[in-house]
Amino acid sequence: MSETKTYSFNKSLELFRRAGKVIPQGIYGHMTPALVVPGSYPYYAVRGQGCRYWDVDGNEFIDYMCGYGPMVLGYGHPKVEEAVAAQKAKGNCFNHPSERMVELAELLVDTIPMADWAVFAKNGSDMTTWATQVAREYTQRKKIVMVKGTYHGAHAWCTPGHGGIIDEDRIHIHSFTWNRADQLEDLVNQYKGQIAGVIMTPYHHPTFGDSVLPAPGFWNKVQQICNREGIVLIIDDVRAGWRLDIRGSHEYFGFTPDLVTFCKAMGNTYPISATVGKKELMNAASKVFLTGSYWNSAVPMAAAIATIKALKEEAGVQKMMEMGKLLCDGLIERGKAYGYEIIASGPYTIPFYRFGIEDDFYRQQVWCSEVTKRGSFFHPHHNWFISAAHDKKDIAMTLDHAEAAFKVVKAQFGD
Amino acid sequence: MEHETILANLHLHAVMPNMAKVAVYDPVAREITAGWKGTVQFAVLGGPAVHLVFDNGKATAEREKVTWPTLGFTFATCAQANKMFTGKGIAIPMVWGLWHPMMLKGFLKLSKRLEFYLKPGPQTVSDPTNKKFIVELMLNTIVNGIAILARLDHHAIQLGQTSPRGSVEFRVLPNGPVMNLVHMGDGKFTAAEGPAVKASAVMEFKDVDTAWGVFNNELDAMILMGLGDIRIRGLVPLVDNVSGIMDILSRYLA
Repeated sequence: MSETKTYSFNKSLELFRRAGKVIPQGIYGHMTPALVVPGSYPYYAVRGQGCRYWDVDGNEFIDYMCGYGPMVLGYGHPKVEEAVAAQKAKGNCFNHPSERMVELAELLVDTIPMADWAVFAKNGSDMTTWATQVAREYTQRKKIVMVKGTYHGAHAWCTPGHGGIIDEDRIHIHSFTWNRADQLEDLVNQYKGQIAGVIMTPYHHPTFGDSVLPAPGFWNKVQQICNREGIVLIIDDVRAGWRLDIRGSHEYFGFTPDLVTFCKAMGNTYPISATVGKKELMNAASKVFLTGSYWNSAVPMAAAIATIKALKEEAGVQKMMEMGKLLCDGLIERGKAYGYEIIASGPYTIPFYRFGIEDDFYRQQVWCSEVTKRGSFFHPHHNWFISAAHDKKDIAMTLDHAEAAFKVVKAQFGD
Repeated sequence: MEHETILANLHLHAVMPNMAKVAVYDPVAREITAGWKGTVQFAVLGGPAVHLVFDNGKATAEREKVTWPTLGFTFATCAQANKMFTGKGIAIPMVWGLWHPMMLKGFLKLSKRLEFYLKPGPQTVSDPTNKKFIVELMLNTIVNGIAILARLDHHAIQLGQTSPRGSVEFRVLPNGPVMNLVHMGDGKFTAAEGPAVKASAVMEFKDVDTAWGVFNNELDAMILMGLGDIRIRGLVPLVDNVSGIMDILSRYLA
């Protein structure tokens, strides 16, 4: 393995300095530099191709965040770009939706066994919030139950942020611990006949922590409770959707929710989100107002149709799983060679890695930033994303970057 | 807990202990307290109390009540105490120790010296040594204030209870001040001066000016983080929740 030159990020910092004068936080939300290791990461991207992208300093990265999920087939995927170009030539926003909307809804209903209908928006938050409203409309109840520490978006009822929220925003939101169906049962008993919906991710993927898969029987128990109590079971598949099973992550784990929300990978970087649902909820869904200035735009719908078809044709999920496993095995093995136990959690396609020796991320932060400075973008605190564009050569190069970074960690911490 | 009670706890347990620091740092205050040997107490009936121990040029603050202070100022209610500390309204405490008129007179002067640093004019701040000292007072107030709010304020309690266990070290480069805040679990925090025994997270300010700007809400901490002027390492979720409590604190002490 050869020593690689490490990157610098002067232009990113320069641009960020300018941004700080005109944009609150400079870069806000999940892409804020405060969540990585400032100074050791790029802040602004220029272009992408396949599983790689380039930042404003001209540094090239093999991307293991995939735009925090939206890139699933590779940047600039030919079939997606072709569909986008064709629709763009015709137009994007009109007084009416385009034919693409009907085609996309039909494609989702054909692809996802539990789906009888579909609606569209732009972001995950749009859909998770709307889904809770549908549950309330359907049941005529107020309360929503979620899992502690789960991210469902940036709206007031669920944002992990501290500012701009009031107690009343969450007065009807209750939570229980992942994999503790007994706690859900307790909540149901405490609020008998008052719970409209239970919203959950298909497996637990908190930021800053290990992902946790459902314990055996957990989903059956949750579904049983919801069915018994007339509670709408909503799955937030925004992050995991299209990376575990083309039919929805609930199929991967073997249960059937009432509503499922999607976003991220659905349009291979084009802005679109969706909710699909069972037919018995369709009437309630039609009563909950749903719109946005760009929510009917045709280009992202064309992108989504092409993305889903390409994922099917190219066996994208299977390929991601294979590459994810290769990466996982390689990281564990290279870590071991330096005396580090690397803890891997979550599915291969959406993994979270950390050092077994620590629970405070010191080594993790150095390691991820050293890997990133060598050309493979590793986030220290958030789960990563694998795409169908990653291949064996990319993984091999990344493992070399990882090994060089293990060496730096070893030298710095003297373990 | 009601607002006035929480605010009185902050005034007595987070702000007042700074008087001991002023008594040691400030030349005028040193002159005032020279030769003092005794305790001065501020207390609210049935509420928080703090006493300052003066011992020939040394001064310390203890966040508890003593039975027989040399001088004692007792407020009937938390609201009365807050009126005095904020200067918004007249509040006359019951005074114990009127037979120490010189100390009483001196203490009133000492209070003015605390105000001199807590509400500093531009000239005071233009002296880098003073500025560093004021940042030390502010950090002391903030770190102790976080521990207090995590115990008393409804929203801070929620943030504290969902924080991971561990310690945060606050460090202003190059030469301090340094303080640490330990989350013992279940939302119970303790604040102390100096570095953490084993910091789970470190929040490091590039210099006194950076800390000054953030503590006075003049600079955006998130931007400073992006620029590397504030460096956070280690257990970021703990720092994130602590920062949330810091925001709540700034609303109380605004």
